[in-house]
Amino acid sequence: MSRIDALNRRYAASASLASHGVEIVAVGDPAGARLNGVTRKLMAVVREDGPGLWDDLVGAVKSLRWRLVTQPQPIALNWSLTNGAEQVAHQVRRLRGAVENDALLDELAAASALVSASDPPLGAVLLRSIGEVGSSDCVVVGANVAASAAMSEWLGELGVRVLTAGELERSHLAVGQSYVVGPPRFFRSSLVTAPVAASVSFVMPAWFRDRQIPQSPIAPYADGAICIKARVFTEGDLTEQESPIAEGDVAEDEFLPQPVWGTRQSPDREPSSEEVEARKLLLSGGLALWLDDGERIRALDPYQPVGERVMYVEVASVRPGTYLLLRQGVTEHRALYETVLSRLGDRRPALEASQAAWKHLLQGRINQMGARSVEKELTNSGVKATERARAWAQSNLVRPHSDHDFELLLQWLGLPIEPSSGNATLLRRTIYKVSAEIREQLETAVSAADLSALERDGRLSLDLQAVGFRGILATRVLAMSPHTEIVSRNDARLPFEDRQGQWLE
Amino acid sequence: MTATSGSRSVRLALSDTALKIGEPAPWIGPLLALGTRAARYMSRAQGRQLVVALSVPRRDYAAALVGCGWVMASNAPQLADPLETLRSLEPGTPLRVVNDYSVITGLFSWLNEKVSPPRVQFAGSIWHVDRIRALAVLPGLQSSEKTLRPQVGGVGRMAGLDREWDARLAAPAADLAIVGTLAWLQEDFDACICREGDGLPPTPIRDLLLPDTGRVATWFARIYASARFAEQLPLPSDVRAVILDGAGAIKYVAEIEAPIAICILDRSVADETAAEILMQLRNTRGEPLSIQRDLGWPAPTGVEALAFTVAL
Repeated sequence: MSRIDALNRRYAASASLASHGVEIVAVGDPAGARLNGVTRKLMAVVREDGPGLWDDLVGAVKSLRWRLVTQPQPIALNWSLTNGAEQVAHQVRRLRGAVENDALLDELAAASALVSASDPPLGAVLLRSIGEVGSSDCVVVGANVAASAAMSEWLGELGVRVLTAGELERSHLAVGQSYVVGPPRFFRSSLVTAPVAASVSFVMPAWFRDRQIPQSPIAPYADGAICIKARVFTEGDLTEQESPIAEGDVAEDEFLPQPVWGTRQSPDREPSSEEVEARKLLLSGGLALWLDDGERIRALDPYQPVGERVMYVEVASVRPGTYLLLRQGVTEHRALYETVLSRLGDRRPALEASQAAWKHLLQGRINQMGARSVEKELTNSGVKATERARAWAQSNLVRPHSDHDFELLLQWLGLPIEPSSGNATLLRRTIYKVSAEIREQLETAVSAADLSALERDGRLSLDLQAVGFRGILATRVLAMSPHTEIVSRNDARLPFEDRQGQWLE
Repeated sequence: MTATSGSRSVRLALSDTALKIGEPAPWIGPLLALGTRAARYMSRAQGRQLVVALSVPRRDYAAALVGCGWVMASNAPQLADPLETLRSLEPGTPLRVVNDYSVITGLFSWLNEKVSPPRVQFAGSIWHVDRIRALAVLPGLQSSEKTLRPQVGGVGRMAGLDREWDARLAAPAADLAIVGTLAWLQEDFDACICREGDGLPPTPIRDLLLPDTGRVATWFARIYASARFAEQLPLPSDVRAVILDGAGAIKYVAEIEAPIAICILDRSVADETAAEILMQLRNTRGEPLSIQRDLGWPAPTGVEALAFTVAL
């Protein structure tokens, strides 16, 4: 099939799903419903008590619930579910005596033991559905790498292809039907708005009540918006579906495996010159990172062609799922900056002085008036990207992107445009040049690496000894803190060991 | 232009190579038409930037087709007679010359009108002036280049590009930039476009768009790799429209200062960051437009589109 044929099929499948909708098969699962009910009780208790003591138990329970929804293979082949239940049992034992909720702990232990004692009913329905279509004309889509690998062990022997949504996209398969295991909200909208197959069915437990179909982020405002409708079919044993706590008490988001972030610990003040405001990122491989709102950060897109995989991304566009390229031991920015300054030779002192002068003035205004007032005044002066004002004052961000913004900023600070503008621009140009050289070296290292390991494990060490670097680590962002903290500038952007992400991978 | 009516009258078709018969599809014409509509909107821009977000099932060909539409809407330059221009030149002036076979850039050396036909030396060679079909003075030149004279093709004729084609080659508007994954864009440019059933040979997209892929004597569109774009900002100020193809390019939308920014969102990619960035821009700084009413462009089936303007 030619590329244009495949594309035409894709447009047609998208149109077909937009007019006919998707199918949701909601399967009765009394044991799962029971675990779901107890999980809701647990969440209510945690909301009363606050996080801390309960974190590991909550993490283990959410993880088990996730596996229950995404891995329906028979128990004999379901290591994930039995292991998840053991983890819950372990955490329950840890909390015995430490909390006063023995009845709840008993219920949790019993419910988790029950789900790991019998085959998930979802599996039988999935098998039957596959049989109706024939294994050669359908594909099963798992919610993540672990789920699809586990289902593949089970269904692979029957000749059924099991893939993640990403693998399906890259597979160039031409199939008429996809069975997606898990609720629609566990998947990105691309699965239904740019479908590979013209028919999509979601197979999920009936006790999971959120059956919303995702749509593209622009759909609410777009002409020709694609809003996929669902036809819901229920089957199996639908007793014990009502959870003891009313639906809607706790948003479904809270049940998904996610870290407990708590509240901001830092005092409400401006960071000093040795500090930065930074957001904590949890990374694959038991790592974390403080990411400040400064210069762009190096990222890797393994799905781009060779030579175009290494890129810079704005801090604001880093998301869970982004692969960051991090240097071990020293930030790329510092290494880059040192090289740049050495290249500048005689011009270095004047350049450093003019950069320090306007940044010092700006920081002084921020300290004096507060960042919000500075942003407001800059907006009144016609500056566009005022939300970056605090970042501009920092030494690790060279200058505002826009010449217009920079000139207005200098005027507002009472400085002549030159030499500050010329010097900052020269510095930026030199940084771009050195950075482009580093990029090419990284591309070379990435092109030699096995990137499938990155998708499987979420991290990959790149050996750059040959090109004069210490090790570089590619690692997936798992979660991002909703709030910032004040941290030492020296700690920002350096990966460190952290176990907060253990229930996420 | 007939193509703008998309599925209503003439259907356009694409093929991987000029040797294959094109496969018609209802989305090809409208994507081309969007580029044309955006170009027409330029006169109404009034100091604001038009941002169009287009979400397609897959990114393939979308940027290239929108780019073709933009190029097809551009006005032909009015060039003076080559001999008249040559008479006014100082030695060392950079030139672009079009003859029957080639487009050549180089430095002007001398003009000799004492012989018939008059001769000119530029780019290190001597040429008959009466063989020059069009000639334009360039503001600067990095290196002398010579490429085969591109053919206008059936779709170009449909848009009337054959009129003043030589002038377009000599002094192209060259006001379009496409930012995306270079390897994929190159594959898109190799595809051919034709009108369903018109019997004419298909036109390579490359010949309509004339991308600047390095070492070419003339081009209509500048091409940038998203991965290296950070190091190439800011864009030259003569760029009037930028097509940002895919998430890697759209992340730079806030740094684009051209009057038109068209963003191709690839829905087959699960990462929704690019769409979120555009929605944030629209909701914080944008004034919404109706793409159907204000641009006169109905989105074809399978395509979501929205437009807004932001202050430049």
